[in-house]
Parts: sequence; C-alpha cells; structure tokens
Amino acid sequence: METPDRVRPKVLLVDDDAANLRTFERAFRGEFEIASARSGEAALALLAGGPYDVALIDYSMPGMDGLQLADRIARAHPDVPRIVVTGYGDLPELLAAEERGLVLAVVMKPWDRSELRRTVGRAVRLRAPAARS
Amino acid sequence: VTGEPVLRGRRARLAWEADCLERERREARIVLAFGGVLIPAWALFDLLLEPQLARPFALLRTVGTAACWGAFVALRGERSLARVRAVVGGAVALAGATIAVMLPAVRNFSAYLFGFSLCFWAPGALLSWRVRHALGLSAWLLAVAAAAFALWPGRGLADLVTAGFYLASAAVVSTGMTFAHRRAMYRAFEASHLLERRNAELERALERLGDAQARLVSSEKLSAVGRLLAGLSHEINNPLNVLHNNVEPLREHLARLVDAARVAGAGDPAELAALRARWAELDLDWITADSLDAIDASRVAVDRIRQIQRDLRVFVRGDAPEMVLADVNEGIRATAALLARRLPDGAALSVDLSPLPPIRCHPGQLNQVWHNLLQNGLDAIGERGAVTVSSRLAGDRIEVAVVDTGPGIAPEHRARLFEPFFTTKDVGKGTGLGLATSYQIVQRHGGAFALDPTHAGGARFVVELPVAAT
Repeated sequence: METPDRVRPKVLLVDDDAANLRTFERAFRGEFEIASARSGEAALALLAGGPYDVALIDYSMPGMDGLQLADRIARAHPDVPRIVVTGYGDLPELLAAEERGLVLAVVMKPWDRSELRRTVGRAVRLRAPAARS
Repeated sequence: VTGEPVLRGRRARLAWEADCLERERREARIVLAFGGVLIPAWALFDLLLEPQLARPFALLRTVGTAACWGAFVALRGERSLARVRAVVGGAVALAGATIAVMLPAVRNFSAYLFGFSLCFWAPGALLSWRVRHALGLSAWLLAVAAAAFALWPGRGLADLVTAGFYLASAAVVSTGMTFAHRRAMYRAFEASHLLERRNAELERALERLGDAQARLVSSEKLSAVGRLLAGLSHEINNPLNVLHNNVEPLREHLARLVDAARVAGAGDPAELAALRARWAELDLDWITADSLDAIDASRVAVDRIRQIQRDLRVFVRGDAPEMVLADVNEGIRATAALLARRLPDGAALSVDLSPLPPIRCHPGQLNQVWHNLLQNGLDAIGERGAVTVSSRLAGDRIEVAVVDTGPGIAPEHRARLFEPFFTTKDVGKGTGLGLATSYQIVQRHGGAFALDPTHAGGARFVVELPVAAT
C-alpha cells in the first residue's frame, strides 16, 4: 500500500539479477520510489540524472562490483548513503568497508523485509539533513 | 671389535664385503709384490753377511720369492674375500717359517732380525691393516727370537741387548697401534650408532610429515570445496531471496482476494453495489499479473536451487572405500555446471563430452580432479577467455582434456607442477596442493596425468583413465 507520507524516499537499487530487482520492487513499491540498475555503470548514469536518498547495491556483480560502485558513488555523490547487499558470508573487505564508513550497512541475502525497511529508513534519515541544506 | 659397522640386511652386508674384497686384494698384492722384490734382494746381503750359508739360503729365498709372485698372480681378479685372506695368511706363515729356519743359523743375528722385521713393518706400516700386521709381526718375532736363543745358547751379550731392545720397542709400538686402532674402531662404531639413531629419528620425522601431508591433502580438498561452496552459497541466496520475499506480497494479494470473496459469498443482493465498488478497487488485473509474476519468479528460483542441489549431489559423491561403476561425464558435467554459475562476462566455460563407457572409479575423487583443473583454468583466464573440458574414448582409455586460453605454464614451472606446495597463486588463493592431490588421485585410478607440452597458447592438461575390464 502507498505510504501516505508527503514524499516517498527515492531508492537506487543496483543488482545484476533481474529476479532480485523485481522482488525488491514488489516488496517495497508501496514505501519507496525505486529506480533500478543492472550494473554499476547504469547506476552511475542514473545518479548523474537526479538525486537519490539511498543506494542499495548488490556486492557480487560482474564488472564493477558493489564495493567499487560504492567507492565511485562516495566520490561523485558523497551525500548518498550506500548500503551493500550480499549473499556471501562475512567477507572481510565488506566489514572493513563498513568500518571505514564507505558503506552504511551490509545486509545479508536473503534479506528480511522489515529489517531492510529499518536499515533503508535509517539511511534516509541520515541523508535528510544533507538533502535539506 | 670388528671394523664392520652395524649393518642391516643382506644388501648392506654384500656391499660391505665387496668393499673389503676390493681393498684387501689390492693391499695383499702390494705386500706380495713388495716381498717378491725384497726377498731376492736379501740374497745379496746373504752373500755379504753369511757367505757360508748362501746356498741353502738362496734356495729358501727362491721358494719365498716364487710364493710371493705366485700368490700375486693368483689374487688378480679373485672374487672371494675368504680366499684373499687365506692367501695372505699363508704367505705370512711361509715368511715366518722361513725366518724361523734361517735366523738361528746366522752369525749377524741382529742385522737379520732387523732386516726380517722390515719385511713386515715396511709394507704393514704403509697400509691400512698395519695393526694386524704389527701384531702378527711381534708375535712372530717373539717366537723366532725364542727359538733362536733356545737353539743357540752361546750368543754374545750384544746380540741379547739388540734383540731385547728391538722386541721391547716392537711390543710398545704394536700395543700403541692396537689401542689407536681400537679407539678408531670404537669411534666408527659410535658414529654408526649415532647414524642409526639419526636415521630412526629421520624415519619418525618422515612418518610425521606423511601424516601432516595427508591432513593437508584433506584440507586442500576442504579449501577447494570451501571456495566452491562460498560461490554456491551466494548462488543459492539469490533465488532464496526471491522465494523468501515474494511470499509476503503473495499472501497480501491472497488476503485481499479472500476478503472480497467472503463478502461476495455472503450473497446479500442489497450489498451488490458496495461489492462492485470493492471489487473495482481491487484492480484484479494488476493483482493477477503481479501474483503470476511473483509465482513465476519463485518457480524459477526453486528450479535454480534444485539444479544446484542436483549438481552438488553428483559432485559430492561420498568417498566409498570401494570403487563403483560410474560415468565420468556425469561428474564432469556437474562440476562444470557448479563452476559455470558465477563467471565474469568475458569468461566462458564450455563442455564437449563424447559418450563414454562407465568405468570403475571413485567418482567423488575424480570430481575433485575435474574441479581442480577447471578452477585452475578459470583462475588462469581471469576476466576474459575460455576454458573447455572435453572427453573422448581413445582405445582402452578415457581421455579428458582441459584447455584454457590463459597465459599458459611458464617453462620454468613445468617440472614442478605436481610438486606439493608449489603454487604461483597469491597467498590464500591456492595451497599448492591441488595438482599434487589430483595427480595422486589419477594415479590411484591407474591413469596418467600430464601437461600437454605441445599445446601452444594457454595450458592443456590431459587425464587418461583406463577402461578396466569388468
């Protein structure tokens, strides 16, 4: 169901797996405004076209992986919080990226709807003061 | 105390005896040649010192010389250590007997005593068996001197002093040499025992190393399979995510439909207008399309998980102690399917299999070989290139070839390919046991495993397995 809020947060979703994109859209279409990209390059192109409240990135993608994309976004759009979604266990490079603030959170696949909603919500709230200024 | 080190086994004893034979024969012949020259030379001294005895002495010396040279010739190429020793013993006995006959008759006793002893001392001191020689000499000198004094009581004091001094010094020197020799022998004995102990320690260390290697080999299997499983876990998590997160929207759709159906079921005609409004609000087309989409996505996800499970089941065939009849192609196909799931865009893994007869094998172990070869190929090509695995029947052997378009194996690495712990991969990427383990597995199957040296561009590994008569 549509959230009665004034504006729905804009989420940039990046995953090379179409089924995963559709699943996310189906789960959150009522709560977020979702733009999806199948690769890092496509995501950067979308980001260049307009502001987003949060980027939700799959870690394992051919070509540019999730961390590389997060790094590019951090340089080009430092105010867009990055969340990485991964099917791998506790990859040390992901934990390190979270520790040094490159990504806000690392979410394990299969994700839980309510938990992911909370994480995205936290990212949006972080972004909000920056967006207003 | 014998000079022989502590030996084990027939081969060691034979080698030692061959070594003794060689040495003792050579030394015996030197001594005999020495005697063969020295004895006739003494005939000159006989003429000078004891002219009245020259004739009988000449006969003895001729016999002695002939015996020396005869034995010298006889020992050439002698293969029996016992005969060499017998000949030497005989020659020494003959020399002693000759001296015993001659010495009591001479006037220049001390000169002869000294001269005869030289015959023993000179060659004996030169050679390694000088101790035995010195002992033999002193025994002979004592016997001869005793005989001489017994038979010739009218000797002067000067002769007595000379003989006494000579015998005493010979006894001291030979005793000293005996001690020195015994010490040397003891050291050799000690050294051989030390060596034996070290050997035992080394054997134990080797055993431990073998155990460690066996453990490492199983850990190599774990690390290779672990890497595969990490990739598969990701592969399973994607469809699992689809399944997990499509259930909730489907449940919501169903709840709305059921709700509407209940109202309709109540069947109150007065409510018909309200029901229609509610129905219209439902947007049935959208719910249907969305539900079907979610169901399709879930079905695809289930199929993906089932396929992974099917491949895994073929890949992880339990390592039963007995070999079983199996189709090698099945394992190759499953292994390739498991590895092909997460490849970079530019990388390809293709499978080209010809029908094969089933062979007796450990399918799980062979899959480890295919996995290793394919993973190595994929590591070699990196982001761009192709790995091809093919199988065919070549006579009574099955031939499986894995070819990659990577940089190939550097010539300096080729000889060490199957060496345990040899790796060119980064730390953490490879244990250096993959190929070594695979090699052992193929050997256990009576097969052959080699890098094709003629293949140009990339690496081509060929595994040959016998089609056993069943």
